[in-house]
Amino acid sequence: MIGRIIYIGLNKLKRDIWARIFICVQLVLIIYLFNLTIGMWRHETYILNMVNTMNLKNAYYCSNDFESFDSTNTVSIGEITQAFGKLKNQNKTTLKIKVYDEEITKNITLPLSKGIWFEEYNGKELPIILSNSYAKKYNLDINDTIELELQYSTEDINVQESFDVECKVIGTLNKANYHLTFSSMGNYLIWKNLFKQDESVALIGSSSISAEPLSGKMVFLKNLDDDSTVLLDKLGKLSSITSSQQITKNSKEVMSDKLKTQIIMWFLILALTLASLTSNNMLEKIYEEKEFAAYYMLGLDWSKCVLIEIFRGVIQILFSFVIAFILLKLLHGDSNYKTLIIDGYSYLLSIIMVFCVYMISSLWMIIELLRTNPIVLIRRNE
Amino acid sequence: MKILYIFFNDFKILFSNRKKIFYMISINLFIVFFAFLYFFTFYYSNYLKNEDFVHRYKPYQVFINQNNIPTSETINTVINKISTYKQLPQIKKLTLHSIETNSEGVENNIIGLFMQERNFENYFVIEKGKFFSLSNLKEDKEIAFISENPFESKYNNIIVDDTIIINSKRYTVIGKGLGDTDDDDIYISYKSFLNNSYDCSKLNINFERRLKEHELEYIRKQFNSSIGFSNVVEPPINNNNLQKLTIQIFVVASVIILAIIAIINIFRYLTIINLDKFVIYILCGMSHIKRFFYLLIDIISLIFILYTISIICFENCAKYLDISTLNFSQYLCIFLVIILSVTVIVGLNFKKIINNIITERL
Repeated sequence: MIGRIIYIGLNKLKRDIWARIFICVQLVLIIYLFNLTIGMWRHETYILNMVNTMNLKNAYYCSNDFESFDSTNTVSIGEITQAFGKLKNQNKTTLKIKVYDEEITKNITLPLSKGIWFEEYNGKELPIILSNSYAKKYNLDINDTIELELQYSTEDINVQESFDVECKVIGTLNKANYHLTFSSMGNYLIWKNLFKQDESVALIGSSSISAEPLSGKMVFLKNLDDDSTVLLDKLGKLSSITSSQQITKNSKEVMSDKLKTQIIMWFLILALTLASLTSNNMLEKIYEEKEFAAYYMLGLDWSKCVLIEIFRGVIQILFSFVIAFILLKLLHGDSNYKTLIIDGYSYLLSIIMVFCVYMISSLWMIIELLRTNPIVLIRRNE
Repeated sequence: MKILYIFFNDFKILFSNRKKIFYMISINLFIVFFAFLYFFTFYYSNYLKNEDFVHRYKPYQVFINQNNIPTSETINTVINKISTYKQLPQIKKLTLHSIETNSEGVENNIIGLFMQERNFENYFVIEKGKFFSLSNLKEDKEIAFISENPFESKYNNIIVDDTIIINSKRYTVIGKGLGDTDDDDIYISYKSFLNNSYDCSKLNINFERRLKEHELEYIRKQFNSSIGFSNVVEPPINNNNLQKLTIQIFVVASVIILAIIAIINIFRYLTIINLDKFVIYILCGMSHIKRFFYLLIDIISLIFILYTISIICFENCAKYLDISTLNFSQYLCIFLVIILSVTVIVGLNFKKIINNIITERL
């Protein structure tokens, strides 16, 4: 019986091929749109999720540089310097190198796709973490030793210092390639200002290398007591300071504005999906109800007819999903993890949503079948 | 009269026969039009905002060879040529940069400024006094505006109405503010900069839009032929924005395809509803063109009604959604494109589909 249902379902797909193509095109576009909106939103929330996992409770960002600070018992100050580098004796892509000192590497751990973070490394060689895309591009892997030609600007911007270092690759950043940097600032400080995304970036965890300092520092309070309050006041006079909680709050405010827009978009796409699929299914009903009535009169009960309808729908959704998957890979394969994040979760979510919507849109026809007499159906179409 | 009668009669049938399907198809078309207007307007206004930002804050930079510093007359001639060349976009803002060292050995960044519109002034947070008026910038007046480094300024002690001496010329300070660079900059008018013959090391030009390749080439030629070797640097293209723009174009394109399918559905519905009538028309000898015309008028009338409703809804919703709307000519333009595409779709498929359906029916 199941074989027969599958046969009828497949056979029905062959009839009125243009209508099937229209439904498939609609499904492809809707799965595509769902994935894009989900992907864009996931990209927006990526940094905030990443920061949340870091548990930066007593961290503060100071926008201005200050020469020295003599309260090492109460606070630790993390600094980032930057340089540019190339693989020695090879004219390859320039790497943006961020040098994190021990305080940064101790308090902040970035998500890696493989390898270990600086704190877990015990070796003698200089540890380096490469961006995922750079490591892939030049076929570099964990435990590889690379020789880099580093260059940086001194305080006098016209003077360039350069030197060679040998580093051991201990990890690669995850696909999104986000890293902590203070190079760009906004008046309304959000995490996006402090974390940047780069294709060719490397992180070195060492305070032994001196490079060009970035204007900004991270201050980590060791304890929350009166001393630390006094210290923060003192710091506030030297520089503008923003707590990690405040940055998270600012980020959430910016995100909630974007979320409002995204919700409207999702709602519109959902309405579009429901209306498009329902109208197409209703048009199909004109032809199909007559056929189902004939099946019923020949002994097939309505539940089997509904099964044929569901089977046909599943085949269409799966076929459209494959096309949408190829379309997403071809059109946005390069943008993945740069402007949007599309992975298994997005695909799964979109296919579940589209399946539910497709079933709701077919419900009309199923209810009609269950409620109507087959003779009425046949007469209506004569 | 007869044609009008047939048309109204046909149109009436739309609302009476298989009502539920007709309403669903109409709702679909309405939602598709609304979604298209929303996505198109939202992304288009974002694109314009971004372009405006780029052209306001990221200028074309012309670095001048310091071994061959041009005279003020030469710079003026080149700028005049560029601003009067009709094929180039209008210059919105222009700055000439120079570093002057006074008798005490202190370096001052002097910037000669020209602006076409007031809104280009929001480079600064004006803290004291006022900024130049547009007429001030066209004259050689001895007035200056100081943009300070927020953290460490050498002009801390200077107040509004004080006098500063640059290159043995006295300038009255009309205002002070915080700039977007880490330096202290003294702004004077473009005319004053040229008339006092400061050594120009760099020019920044903001055009009303990004230059095309041949326009940029023209500017390069002008500078190289008049000044000698000079380097013209384009404002950077933000690849991230470019990728976002690509995604936005694909979203709008997807909605357009969904709109086309919705229109095709209307066409399919009309052919199914009017099938018996078409068979009678054929038997009575009605020409193919006339049948096509009747169907097309039905579809266009329906699209017009739904498009108008969606515009009314969109205009009302836009106020709450805080997005900009289109003007009448833009709405009309979109409608004409829809009509054109409907005519093409119906025209290409009409004969084939009608014949197929009639064959199947018979």
